Amino acid sequence: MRILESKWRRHRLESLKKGWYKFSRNRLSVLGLCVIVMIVLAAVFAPYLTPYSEHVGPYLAFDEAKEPPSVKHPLGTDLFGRDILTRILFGYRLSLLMAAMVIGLSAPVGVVVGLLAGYFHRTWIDRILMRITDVFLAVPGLILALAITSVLTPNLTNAAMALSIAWWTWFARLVYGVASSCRSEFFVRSAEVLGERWPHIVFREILPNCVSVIFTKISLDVGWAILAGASLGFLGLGAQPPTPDLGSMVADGSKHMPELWWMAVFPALAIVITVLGFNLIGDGLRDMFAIEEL
Amino acid sequence: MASLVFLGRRIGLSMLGLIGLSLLIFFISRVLPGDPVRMAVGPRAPEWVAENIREQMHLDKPLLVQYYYWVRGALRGDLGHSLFTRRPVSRDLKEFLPATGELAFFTILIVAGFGIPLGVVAGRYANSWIDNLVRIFCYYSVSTPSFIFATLFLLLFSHVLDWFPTFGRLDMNILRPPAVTGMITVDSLISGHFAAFWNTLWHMVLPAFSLALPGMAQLARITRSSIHDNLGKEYIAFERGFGIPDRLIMSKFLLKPSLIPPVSILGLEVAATLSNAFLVEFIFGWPGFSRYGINVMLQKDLNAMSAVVLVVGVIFVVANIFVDVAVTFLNPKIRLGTG
Repeated sequence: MRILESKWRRHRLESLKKGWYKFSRNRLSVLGLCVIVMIVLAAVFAPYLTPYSEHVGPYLAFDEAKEPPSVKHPLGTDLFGRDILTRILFGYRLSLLMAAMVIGLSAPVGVVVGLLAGYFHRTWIDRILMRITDVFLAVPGLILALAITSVLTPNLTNAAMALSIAWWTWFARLVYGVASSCRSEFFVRSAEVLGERWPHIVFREILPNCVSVIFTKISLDVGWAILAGASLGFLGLGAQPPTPDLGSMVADGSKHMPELWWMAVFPALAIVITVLGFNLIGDGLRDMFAIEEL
Repeated sequence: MASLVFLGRRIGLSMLGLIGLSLLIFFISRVLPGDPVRMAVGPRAPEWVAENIREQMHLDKPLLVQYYYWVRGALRGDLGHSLFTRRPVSRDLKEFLPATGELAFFTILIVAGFGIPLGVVAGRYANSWIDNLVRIFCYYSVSTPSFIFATLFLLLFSHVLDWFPTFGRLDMNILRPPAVTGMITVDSLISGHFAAFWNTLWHMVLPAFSLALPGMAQLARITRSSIHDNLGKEYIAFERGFGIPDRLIMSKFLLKPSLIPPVSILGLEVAATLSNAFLVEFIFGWPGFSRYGINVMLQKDLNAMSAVVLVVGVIFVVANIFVDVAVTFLNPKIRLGTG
């Protein structure tokens, strides 16, 4: 038994190495991974990276307001004299948290729905679950999220919830496809013959086969979730001031456009770099796992 | 026949989806915010005013009955009154929809007109410098949301270079053509006001391109991989072996099957355009339906809000039906019922 286990472990290590080799062949994806690692580290250690941590809260220093980029403030200051770079770093925390919340809420729901509907293909469970997912095909998710956040009090949690309401359907549809093609495979059939019950088959036999698809989808979706969160923030439906939110920083900056250009341009670039990084990673994973559905 | 069955099924499913959407939006606008009447009249209105409105809007009845009244009204074109403009919502929609219509049409034209050719060229010359250039452009454009394109374009092309107007749909000094469809580009062509036509087009360039670029990149990527995959198939090698010229293979045999994936996601592009228009129209002051939508949402104007979401749903469903028709036309598997 122990020999088997160590063999299995070595096999797993080897397949990880092989996977990393395939992933690292795509230089752009490695670049994306580096960018994202740096952004995450910068967000986590933001208070130690910048001397202006108090600029995140309700801070006023009108003598330093509206300063263009300089050595002291590399990306300039805003209307209240707050350092833009500091606010971007702290804004990243919020964006990443938002993305984590959206994915954390929608991925488990979507995966379970997709697995169940896929395994119980063409039964009433499949029909009901997939018709419910179809409802969300009738309207763009962002507009639904806008409508929901507008009736609730605008804050980070509500924005994340509103985005998740339509978001899980993408996971459900994706997993449904994989699961319903898995159910006629031999390993599922043999588990059925052995008398395993459906929870075992769904979660221990089919789910492991969906993992690569799910993780690729997640890495692509983090970028989209950050983007959607920034869109809500841009309209003032995300985190409320003075909390730094990348979307609302772009919105504030665009009101003072030609003169104080750095107020809008740098937060905008910050969003683009993050989304780009996650897209590059997602593409690398897709090539690595050879997934065609995404 | 098979294609009719396929289309009928798709239309039936989308109708079901719309019914579900109406339930969902009814729930959002009536149940979530607590007391919609209080939100309508404000906290300081006397109780009898609230009572009156409650009775008028059938809010004193059970939820199911309320839903029935709401759907019946919506089917008759009565979507209630907007608290934001203080007019019937249907009149507001009639006024604001055409502006978004022409913007969205122009956007989709750019998306398909640039995206597909870019993808075809990149796929045909895969792994050449053109392909790499297109790939870099696509990576950048897909990752940049429309509202950021809009902000950057506004800064660069309007404020710094002063090539394009920053705001609105038509210059103040140009006479608006008599309204027939409400779309200035169409109306001005009907009445021969070419100055108005060019001016509106001029105003449309920046918003339309900021809306179109992400979708264009997406479409180019999908077209590229589809062309690239099909190029490696046996039937192409077979045709080459027969000595059919490359140009003919490209235009006659390769293009049509390769267009199926990009055309099938055009529906999603319509959705993306509509939702991004909510931000882009806001930035460029385009007096359209989406700007109206965002205004009523920020004002918590529930009647108008549910109408806006419902109309977006209907537009989206109709767009998807068009896409399905196009796909049926392109895909013989569906047409012959073997897929």
